Amino acid sequence: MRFFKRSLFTLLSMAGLLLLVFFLSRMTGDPSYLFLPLDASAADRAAFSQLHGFDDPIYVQFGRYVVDLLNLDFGTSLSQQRSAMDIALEAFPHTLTLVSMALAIAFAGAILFGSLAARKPGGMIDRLISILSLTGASTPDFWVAIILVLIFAVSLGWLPTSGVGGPLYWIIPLFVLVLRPFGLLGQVVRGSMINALSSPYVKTAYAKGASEQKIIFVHALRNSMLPVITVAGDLAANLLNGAVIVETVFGWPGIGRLMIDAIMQRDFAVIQASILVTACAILILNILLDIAYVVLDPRVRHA
Amino acid sequence: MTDAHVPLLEIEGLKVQFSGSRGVVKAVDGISLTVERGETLAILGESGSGKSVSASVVMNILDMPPGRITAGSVRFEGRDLLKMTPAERRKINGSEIAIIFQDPLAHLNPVYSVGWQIAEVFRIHGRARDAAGAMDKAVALMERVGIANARSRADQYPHQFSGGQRQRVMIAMALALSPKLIIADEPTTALDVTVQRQILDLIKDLQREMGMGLILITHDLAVAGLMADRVAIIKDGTIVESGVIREAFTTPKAAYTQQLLAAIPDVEKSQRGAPETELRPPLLVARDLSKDYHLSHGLVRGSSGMMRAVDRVNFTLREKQTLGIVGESGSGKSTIARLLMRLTDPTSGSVHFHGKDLFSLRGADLLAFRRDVQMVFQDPYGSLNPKMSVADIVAEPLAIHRDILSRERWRDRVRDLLAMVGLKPDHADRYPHQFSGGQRQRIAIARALASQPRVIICDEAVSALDVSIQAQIIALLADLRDKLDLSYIFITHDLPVVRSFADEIMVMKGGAVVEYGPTDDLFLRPKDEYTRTLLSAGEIPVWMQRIETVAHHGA
Repeated sequence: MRFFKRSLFTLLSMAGLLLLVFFLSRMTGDPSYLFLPLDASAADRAAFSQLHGFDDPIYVQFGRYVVDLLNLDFGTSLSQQRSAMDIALEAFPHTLTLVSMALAIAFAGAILFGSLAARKPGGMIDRLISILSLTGASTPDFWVAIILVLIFAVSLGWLPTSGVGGPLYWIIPLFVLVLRPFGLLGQVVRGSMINALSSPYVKTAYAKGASEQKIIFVHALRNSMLPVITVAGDLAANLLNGAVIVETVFGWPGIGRLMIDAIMQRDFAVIQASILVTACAILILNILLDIAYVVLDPRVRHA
Repeated sequence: MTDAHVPLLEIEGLKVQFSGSRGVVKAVDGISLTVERGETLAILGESGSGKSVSASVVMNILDMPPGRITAGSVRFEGRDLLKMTPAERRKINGSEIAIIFQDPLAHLNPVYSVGWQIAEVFRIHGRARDAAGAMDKAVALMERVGIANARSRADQYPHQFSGGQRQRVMIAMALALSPKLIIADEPTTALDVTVQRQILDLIKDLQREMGMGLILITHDLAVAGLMADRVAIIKDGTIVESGVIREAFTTPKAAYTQQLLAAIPDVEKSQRGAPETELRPPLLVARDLSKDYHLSHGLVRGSSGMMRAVDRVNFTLREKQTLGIVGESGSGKSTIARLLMRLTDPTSGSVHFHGKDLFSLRGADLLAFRRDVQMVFQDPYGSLNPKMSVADIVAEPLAIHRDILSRERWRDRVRDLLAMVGLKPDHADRYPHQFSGGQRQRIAIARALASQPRVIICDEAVSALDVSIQAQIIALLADLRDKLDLSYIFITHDLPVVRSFADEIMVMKGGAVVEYGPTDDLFLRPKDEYTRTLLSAGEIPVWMQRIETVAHHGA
C-alpha cells in the first residue's frame, strides 16, 4: 500500500517536472537565433520555426509532446539531428559510473571513519575525524576542483586537467565528488553509531563475550544504518544533479554537461530527454532505498 | 591450599562512583558479598541503591566513563576479574558468567533473528562446529525454555514475540553454555504478573538442573522470598543487612529492613472508604461501555480489522469509595480511563456522572465535568512539565477554570495543596527535576486536587514507585479521600496493592470484565480462574505472610 502510494506520488511529481521543463525551456528564447546564421532573414526564421513546429501555439506543441511521449518518441535533437533519447542515454552511463563510484567511496569511508569516531566520543580520534568530515562537508566543490587542477594538473603536471581516458583522469573528479558526501555521511554515521553503541542490546552483546569489532560492525552498524541510508539516498540524488558542475569543469561527457550544452543551445528535445533520464534514475534509486530499508530492518518488513 | 574455601564469586570492598555535571556520586560504596555454587543470593534494594551497578561491574559492562571503580576486588573462582586482560575477560562473559536483563525488548537486537542471537553465543566461544550446528543448539535451547515451534520461531525477530517469550529467549541466551554464575537483574519487573511467576519458576528449575549460582537483583521482597537462599539488602550503595533470607526477614536487624517489610501491603489493615454494609449514592455509572479500535494493516483500507479494546463493561463508582480496576497489559483498563476522561468516545454504551450523560456533554457542561474528574498518571517524570515550576504546575487547573479562584489567591492555595499532600509550602518555587519519584507523584496529586474534583482516576499511579513509597502514596490517597470526600478509580496491574485500599475490584482481561465485586469476596472467594491466577501470581510466600503480620503488629 505504502509502496503503491509512493510510486503514484513519484509519477505525479515526474509529470509535473516534465510540464515545468517543457514550458520553462521555451521561455529561454527562439532557437532559430542560435541555429541559423546571424544574417538569416525573417522568412528563413519562419521556415525554421515551421519545420520544427515552433510556430504552433504552445499548448498545441505540448499536446504533440505528450502524444509523442506516449509513443515513446522523445523528439529529435536540433543540433545533432538524431534521437534526443539516444544522446541522453549515451551520456548517462558516464555520469552513473562517476557518481556511483564516488558514492561507494564516500559510503565506505564514512562508515569506517564514523564508526572509529563513535568508539570514544570526544576522544582524540573522534575530534580528528570530526574536523576532517566537517571540512569535507563545508568546502565548496567547484573551488576544490579548480585548486586541485591548479596544483596537480597545471603546476605539477601529474594529472590531466580534463577529459576521459585512463585511470588518471578519474582521480580529481572523483575526489571532488567524494568530499561533501563523505563529510556529511561521516557525521551521520558517527551520530547514529554513538546512539546504537549506547543501546541495551549492545550491553547484551558485551555480556555474551562478543569482541569489539563484532559489536561495532555486526550489532551496532546494522541498526545505525537506517538514518545513514536515508541521507545517502538524498546525497545520491544530489550527486546525479550536482555532477553538472564537475562535468563542466572537467569536460566529462556525462548527462550534466549534456544538459548544460542543450540549455545553451536551446535544444529543447535534449533538455527534456536528459531530465527524463535523470528523473527515472532518481525514481529507481528511491525504489532501491525502500528495498534496502526492508532488507536492513525486519520491523519495516512486518509493519 | 586444598582446605581453603574458594567461593564462586567474592566481591570485596567494591566502590564505584559516577562523575557528572552535578559532581561525584558514590553509587556503590564499599560492598562485600559472596555467592556459593548452586545458591541464590538476592540483592534487594530500591531504585538508585547501586544494585544494578554492582552487577554491571561483575559483568564488565559498566559505562566507563562516567563510571569509575575506585576500590575493591571481584574474584570469580579465585581469579580477580578486575585485573584480567580484555581478552581473558571476554572469554568468561557468556560462558562462565551470564546475565538476564530486565527489559528483554530493549536488550535483544531488533534486526537479527532470535535464533541467530542465541546461536551467536556458541559461535563467539567456539562451541559449535559451524553456523548450522550453532543454530541447532539454539533451537534445542528455545525448546528447553518453553518456546513452542522453536524451529520456525528461531527465524523470527524480537518484535514478533510477546514479553514473556522474549524473556525466555534472554534466558536461553544466558544459559547457552551452562555458566557457573547467572545474574538476573530484575528479570520479571517488565512483565505481566501472570507471566512473572512462570519466568521465575523457569529460572529456578534451570538453576537446580545445572547447579548454577544465581544473583537475583530485585526490588520486590516477595520475589526475593520466593527465590533466594540468602539476601543482601542495599541502601545508598552499602549493604545494610545480609544473611540467610528467612532470618533476615523474620528478625530484621537494620531499621531499613523493618521499613521495607512494613511496606508489604497488609491484609488486615484496611484503608478502605465506607463500610461494605453502607450503600452510598452512585456517582459514576457505566453501562455496556464498549470501544473498538481500527487496525489498518491490510492492503486495502476496507479490509482492516477491528480490535475491541473494551467489551460491554458495567460498573458503578459510589461516593467516597474506591473502585480498583485490575488487569494486565492489553486488558482495556487504560482505555476505560481515556473514556471516562472524555479523551476518546465510546463505540457504544453510556456513562452517567451525577445522573448526566457523559458523552453528550458539550461546552460549559463539559468544562464543568473536567473540573470534577481529574487524573494522576503512572510516570511522574513524564507527566510534569520540566520547564514549569511546581507552583505553575499545581495552579494550572486554576488557570484553566478561571471561576474557581481569583489570581491573587492562587499562591496561598498552592501552598495549602502542597501541605495537604505532605510537601513543604516552600517547594512551590522549585522545578520537577529537584524531586524524587514519590515527591513528584505528590505534586501530580496536588495538581489533581486543585480544581476540587469529586473523582480522581489513578492510572497505575504507584507502579513506577519503590515499594516503601507506594505504601506512603496509598496512605496519602486514603487520607485525602476521607478529608475531601473523594472517590477513586484506581487502575493497576498489581492486585496486592489495591487490597487494603479498594472497596470494590473489577478484574479485566482482553477488554471484558471477568470478575467484579467487593474486595474481600474477590480475594477470599475468587470465582473466576483468571482471578485465581492473578492472585496466586502476586502472592507472597507463606513463610513471609507470617513475619509480615508480626512486623505490622510489632510496629
